[in-house]
Amino acid sequence: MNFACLLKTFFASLFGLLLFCIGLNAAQALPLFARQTGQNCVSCHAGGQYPELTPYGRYFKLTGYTLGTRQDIPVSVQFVGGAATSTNGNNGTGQVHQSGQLEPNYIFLDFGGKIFDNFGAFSQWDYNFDNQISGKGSIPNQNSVSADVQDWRYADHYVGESADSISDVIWGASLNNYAGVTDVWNSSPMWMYPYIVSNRNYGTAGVPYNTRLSSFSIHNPGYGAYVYLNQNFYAEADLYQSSGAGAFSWMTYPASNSNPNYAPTYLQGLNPYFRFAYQSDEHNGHNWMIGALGSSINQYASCDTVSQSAASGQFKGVSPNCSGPVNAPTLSSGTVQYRDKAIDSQYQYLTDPHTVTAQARFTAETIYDPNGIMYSNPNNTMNSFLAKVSYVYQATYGAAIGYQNVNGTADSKYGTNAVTGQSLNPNSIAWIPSIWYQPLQNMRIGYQYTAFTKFNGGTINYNGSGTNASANNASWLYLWLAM
Amino acid sequence: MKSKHPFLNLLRAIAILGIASLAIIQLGCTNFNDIPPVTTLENPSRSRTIGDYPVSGKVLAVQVCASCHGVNGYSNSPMIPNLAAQQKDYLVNQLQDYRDRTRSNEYGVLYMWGMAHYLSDAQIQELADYFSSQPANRVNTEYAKDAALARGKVIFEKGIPEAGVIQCNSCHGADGKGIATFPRIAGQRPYYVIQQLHVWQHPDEKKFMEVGGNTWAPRTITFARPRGALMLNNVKNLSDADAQAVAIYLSTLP
Repeated sequence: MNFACLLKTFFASLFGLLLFCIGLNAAQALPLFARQTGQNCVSCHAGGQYPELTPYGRYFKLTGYTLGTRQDIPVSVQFVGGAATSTNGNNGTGQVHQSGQLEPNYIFLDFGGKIFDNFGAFSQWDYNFDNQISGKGSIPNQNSVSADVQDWRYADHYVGESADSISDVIWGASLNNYAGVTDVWNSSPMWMYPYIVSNRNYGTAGVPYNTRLSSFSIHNPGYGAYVYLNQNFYAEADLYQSSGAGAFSWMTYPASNSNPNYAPTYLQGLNPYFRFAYQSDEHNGHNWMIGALGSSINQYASCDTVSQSAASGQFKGVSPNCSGPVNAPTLSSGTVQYRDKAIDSQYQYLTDPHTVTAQARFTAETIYDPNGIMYSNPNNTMNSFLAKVSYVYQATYGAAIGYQNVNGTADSKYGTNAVTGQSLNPNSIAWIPSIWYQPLQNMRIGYQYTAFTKFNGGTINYNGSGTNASANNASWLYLWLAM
Repeated sequence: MKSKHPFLNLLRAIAILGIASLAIIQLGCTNFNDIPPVTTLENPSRSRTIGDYPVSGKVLAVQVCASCHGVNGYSNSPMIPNLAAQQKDYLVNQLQDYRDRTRSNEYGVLYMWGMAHYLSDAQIQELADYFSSQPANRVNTEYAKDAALARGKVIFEKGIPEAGVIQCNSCHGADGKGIATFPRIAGQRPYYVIQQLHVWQHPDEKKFMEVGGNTWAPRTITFARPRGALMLNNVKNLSDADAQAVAIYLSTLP
């Protein structure tokens, strides 16, 4: 019985016990943070549109999830299922193996909440149904468990006299596993729309390529500290390191040095991520924020690095480019250096029955790969602009539209034209409208559509094989449940 | 699970499940909260805990309540009432009513039932002390030129005799600052006042909704503020336009 098997058994047991305990006390069938605070989800989530945070939600997260009552069973469960389909049938680009039928996609297990007065956690593990395992092309799809979002925090909050120039200080430290996961604004890399996507069709998440500092793309153990002055000025710095071995390797489970199917991301030394923001005071239900963030990532190549990096391999279905039996960083060939700088902004109007929120982020990136580890050009750039506006009525009926525009240098990494043989560029544009209905605060039925007006640099026949951008359009009818 | 003995694996799984179940049942599934504070890891002077152990009201006020009602008792959201210089007796009553779930205006149900659920009598006294002693030192000028002000002033000072609406200042004080269990209404936000008047204007209004405070099942809530029963006759004939006018007028009072 190997470790993975034990872990699976452990999760199965845990899930069974959870159901058992829920049976004991129906009151436990609300999500963890709702039980802990005794409040409706809409207190912390703008218009109930999880995971968008209200000012109070930001306070809750920045004070380390410690507001409220410690829970008897510090666990909750989320389920995402639905039907993903695309213009291109069910076997096109970006579609992992969708059937077009209703099918389960994810179960998330969430642990943590308040642990001590100054210590709390948001620890989310996912159970991915029928997941496409990357390794070596011969492994069939299977259900898998992985460390999803990890944010373990120490936090404290000083309140002084209001006449003082510094009257309110929140400070803390976090151990986490994605750059940006600690953030409390929804214009940040990890927490931006679209919020619920299908594991069967990555087109539901939008454009196929993005800058390194974007969702789920710097997946490494990291630690950092932050301070929030007068609930206006926010500053944070984190350092990210290689995953796969050592005390923090559980944070990127199941990636490990010895698991040929899940290669970890090897980074050189400690890689910084920073974040500054100014949050306005709330005035008559309105509040806004403007911020800047960035990261500097030096990444080694490894056997599986190409297929794992920046999710691009997953989108294009590229096979790993070497066949070594063990994952190992290729130290001798140096690193690829990603430098990302971004500005972002958020606006919220929160007064029942109306919730209006808008976010935007622009990221400029330079990629330096002198030894041609992953890119054919030594110097590449990529810019990305992402935005979204949404409206929710009575925290029940919602509509949103997202816009994503990515452009960058042509490089064989993005594929080549079947006719001309020229490298493709990553330039892509997606529009993502969605509507949803929340009959209960912890249940959402939604429909989301992704329309590509540009894909891999073109609208018509972008790859020389006759594929149009619109062939990647994706529709996604889903159910989200949390308890 | 690539074992030659699937049956053995099943047995192992059952064994692990059984042991883990017993462990959790031993823990009781319900009794973590009876554990006294782990003193070295708790921080009573800056705690945001509710119910785990008794934190002082002053600490709760600035660490928990202030996140919506403001450290000085001035909230930033129109939905959330200002508590600065509110009457102490009134605050005590309301916190008790939220704890006992007898005050059931909509947002109170969503946000305050859970917050007040574990409050002790001592904490309620301390919270009321804290907010009632915050000075009322902000004047809202947002509606200073509103067309409805004059009408609101008339209702506040003279009532609407033909509709049976008694003037507000007969109970809430000449300047709306309240007395004992009659709340301060001066300087309150119009959105909040309109919401509260609505509860008495429509005493039979119900809604099928979720409730705060660790209760799973949504249920039908009849919106009510029993302690404000005196208001029922006063405002039953109050039109929405007049409710708005008086709310706007109140917001301009210091």
